[in-house]
Amino acid sequence: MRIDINACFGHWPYWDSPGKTADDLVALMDRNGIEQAACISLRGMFISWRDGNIETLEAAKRFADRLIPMATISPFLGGNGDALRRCIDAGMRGVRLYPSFHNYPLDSAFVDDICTTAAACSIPVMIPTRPMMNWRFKSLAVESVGAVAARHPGTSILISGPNYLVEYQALVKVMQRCPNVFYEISCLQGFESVCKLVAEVGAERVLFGTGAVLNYPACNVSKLENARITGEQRAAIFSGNAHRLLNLGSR
Amino acid sequence: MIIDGHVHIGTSVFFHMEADADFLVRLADELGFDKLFVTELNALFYDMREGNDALARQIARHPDRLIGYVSVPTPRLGQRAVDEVHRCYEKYGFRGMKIYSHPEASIAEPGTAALLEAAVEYDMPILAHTTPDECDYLMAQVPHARLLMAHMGGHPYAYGDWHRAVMVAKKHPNLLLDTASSQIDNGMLEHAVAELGPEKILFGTDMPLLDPHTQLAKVTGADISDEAKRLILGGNLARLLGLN
Repeated sequence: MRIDINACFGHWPYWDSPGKTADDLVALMDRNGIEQAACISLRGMFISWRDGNIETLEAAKRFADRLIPMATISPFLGGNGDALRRCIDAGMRGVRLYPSFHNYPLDSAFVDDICTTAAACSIPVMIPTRPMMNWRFKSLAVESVGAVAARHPGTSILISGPNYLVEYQALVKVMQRCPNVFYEISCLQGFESVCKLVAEVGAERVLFGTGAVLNYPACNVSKLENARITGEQRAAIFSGNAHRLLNLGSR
Repeated sequence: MIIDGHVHIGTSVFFHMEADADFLVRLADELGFDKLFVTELNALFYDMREGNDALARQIARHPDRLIGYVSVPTPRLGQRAVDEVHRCYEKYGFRGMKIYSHPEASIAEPGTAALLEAAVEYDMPILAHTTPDECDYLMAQVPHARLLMAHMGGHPYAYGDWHRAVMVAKKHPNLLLDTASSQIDNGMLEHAVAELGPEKILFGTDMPLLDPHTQLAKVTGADISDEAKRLILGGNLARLLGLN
């Protein structure tokens, strides 16, 4: 089974991305053998997190067995822990923070409020260091996300975005220091990186993600299918870890 | 036939790469790649003569699988670089040339023309790690050179701008795009094929820096025709190099 922890749908302001709707996302999942995807509407990233979350929940309702709704939230438009709690009550299974796109620092009372609420509600906080693996987007320092994780040891922090070389080394250091940090692999493009990462931090905190609809899902399916790891590790990364992190047993 | 047009051999402390011919051919066997077009890291980033000689020795271990690029650290080496292209063609039969642009030393300079002309003399494709705008400049200088834009804009120095790469390739008949890159943007190959045709796109992995399975799936998983995939994965490079 494959659960994509990092999917989205909507418009992309930088170019004409081919997948814009939840239907497009599900069609991509079908083509790539992905049963479920945790997703957001990109409207929440660029325009209004409130309206984006509504779209995400509507999409997840339409594709109840395929799409898992993730919230996004910012301090603008009244975002805070109480607002996140309402999202969770409405069915959201996690929250994604986009400090670069929502213009706030990670070292802030807002982030602390979100992390505290997420821990209390047993949902993960996902912080992408870049929105997708395209070099035009400046990356957040992995260490800055690590600092959030260190401040909130009871919160599950899911990092996506780090790629190879110095970013990879920073990621490993953060994951070794903070047992509450998880990592999604869609931007990890280095040679045999999945195998190396599993050797360094174990398979239990590594999750399959594609970045669809913005990325080709086939690339990350192939990367993980061909990684030199055990079948048990592969199964954990493809779905078991996401199942546990998103508490899908209670759906 | 699958030909990986962008492969590295040798050692680089910056890129954390170390590979010899046996290692690369084992990888190629696992991946189902028929041939690898290889550039040597010492030649590209330090001592070109020493590195190109080392590449020739590595190719001799697997002459049916490896094809050599003569690599040149910078066209600012002037006549020495031009002479190296002649030497490596005449002594080793290398079939292509690799050049690399840095923010610290751009290849978009008048002096690069002589180097491109040397490659043209031997009908060598020129794999250039560079930006779309630098390619635009070089193609204006030497329009008959067959330039392969490494990464099709997908590297930090080019800001990942594959749209710009496609726009520039559309202007120049002899400018082709290499698919190797960390970027796996949904739609990038479909866009390139629609704008340029599949004949101007070449498959590369950049292994062993990047994961080759990811790079292969970028092409095989794209929503383009089987014929387009055949051309990109090897047909185009086989045609350029006159391979069966």
